[in-house]
Amino acid sequence: MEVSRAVAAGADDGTSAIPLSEAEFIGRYRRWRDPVYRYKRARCRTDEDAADLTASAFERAWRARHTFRGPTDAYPGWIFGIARRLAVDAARRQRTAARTQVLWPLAPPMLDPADLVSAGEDARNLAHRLADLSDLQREALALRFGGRLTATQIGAAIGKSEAATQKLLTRALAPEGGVP
Amino acid sequence: MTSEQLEQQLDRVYGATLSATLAEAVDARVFAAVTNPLVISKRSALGRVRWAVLLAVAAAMLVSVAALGFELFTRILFLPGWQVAWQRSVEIGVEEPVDGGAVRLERGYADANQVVIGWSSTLDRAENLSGDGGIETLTDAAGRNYTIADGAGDETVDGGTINILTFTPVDPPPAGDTTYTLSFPAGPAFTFTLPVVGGTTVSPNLEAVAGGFSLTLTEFRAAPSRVIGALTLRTLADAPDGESWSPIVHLEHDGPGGVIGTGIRTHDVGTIEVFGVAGVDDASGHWTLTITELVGHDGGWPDNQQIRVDGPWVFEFDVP
Repeated sequence: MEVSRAVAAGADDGTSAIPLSEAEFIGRYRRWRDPVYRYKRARCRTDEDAADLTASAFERAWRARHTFRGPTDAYPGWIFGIARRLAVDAARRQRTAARTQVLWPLAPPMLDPADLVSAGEDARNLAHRLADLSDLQREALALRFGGRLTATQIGAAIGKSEAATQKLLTRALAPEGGVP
Repeated sequence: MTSEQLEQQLDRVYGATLSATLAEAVDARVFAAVTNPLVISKRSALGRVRWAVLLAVAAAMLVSVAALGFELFTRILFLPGWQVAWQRSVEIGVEEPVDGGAVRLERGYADANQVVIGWSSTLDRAENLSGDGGIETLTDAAGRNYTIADGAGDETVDGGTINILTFTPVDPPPAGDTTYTLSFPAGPAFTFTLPVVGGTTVSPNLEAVAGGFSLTLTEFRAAPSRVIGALTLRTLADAPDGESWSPIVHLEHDGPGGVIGTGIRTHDVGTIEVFGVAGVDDASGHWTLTITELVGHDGGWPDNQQIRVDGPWVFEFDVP
């Protein structure tokens, strides 16, 4: 079996509707590995767990590649759907709250003590905001900001229409007590 | 907090970066799955080992650490080479008590390119045997330390763990029956003997130049569970600025049909180890090792930019 590790030309041009070949699968893996990892990282306590689940998602996707028939722009919804089910399975298996989201320390350097205080407050505010959201809203935000998905792609991953997903995101991002 | 501020914070919070080390590990697993349909992942293996799991549960009710089923470990044998090693492993079956439970070395395998050890414990994963950040060490009877290369683990249904550890032999690797000592930083040490399966080593000393980089394949060693190529990287005057260069590798044995999935490991600046996630029993024939790209980064922080340099750097050689 020959496997090309090169990115398939035109793999993400949105024009083809074909079963995934090995080269195309690898091409899409290269494109979506890091977004899937970021999404997973939002649901895991360690980098290693997130990487493990990222690899598992693509392993499962490879075995299930015959179930994907395109068009190519449907791929993100498909792979994130797999990643999402794995995340829930893993959380259940680890006996943690199935949809717990984890905020980890923010990295940017801030030398002004006032900034450090502000960052701490911001993180607390953000944690409170996320805690007030529904599971599905948090899921949509993780897919939007971790996976960098569009509303259409998020909808495909969570089984909602684009309009319903957009509404979900809008409400999740609304300032406290109002509409954005 | 306005919507804009919230979005900025979410951007930062969800902006995690996959480290190069973890990226290598993820790549190795995915490429192994693609190049070898026999790779069994954790989840898919669960159905197949259901009976083994039930038997393990029953056994665990009787003794502290039962010898775990051979098949139970298949769920963590992520790489084809590990599967080969496990199929050819020999039983060790040595058990030591530890605080709150017991640890048991189940099986082991050794060839010229790696030592693979399967062990189990009744301890919860959180009660690790690594102490304060320590790692397991493996030495041979001559006192030589082997470098820990990889590992995997999973929980068993009775709350214990199964684990695989792999080590890279020192050079030159031992031959024949070899006595090893595996030590856990916060646990027991085990001494056991494994037969070392030989390998084939050649020194191609082939140089290829492209994109401002000179790569030299200095040594290539093939064994049943993995193949390893050692490369040195030299930066030429016309190389782009960057650091931490890693190769994208394609490895063929006797033509396009003999593709072996690959991974990389960088030991020192300028030294790159390329390994196949599978090995060969018979290394003779024509080998083609192609590095299609070098991938580095500009060292910027926090906005680290990836730099990709097209090759190819091609090394073709014959093993008698």
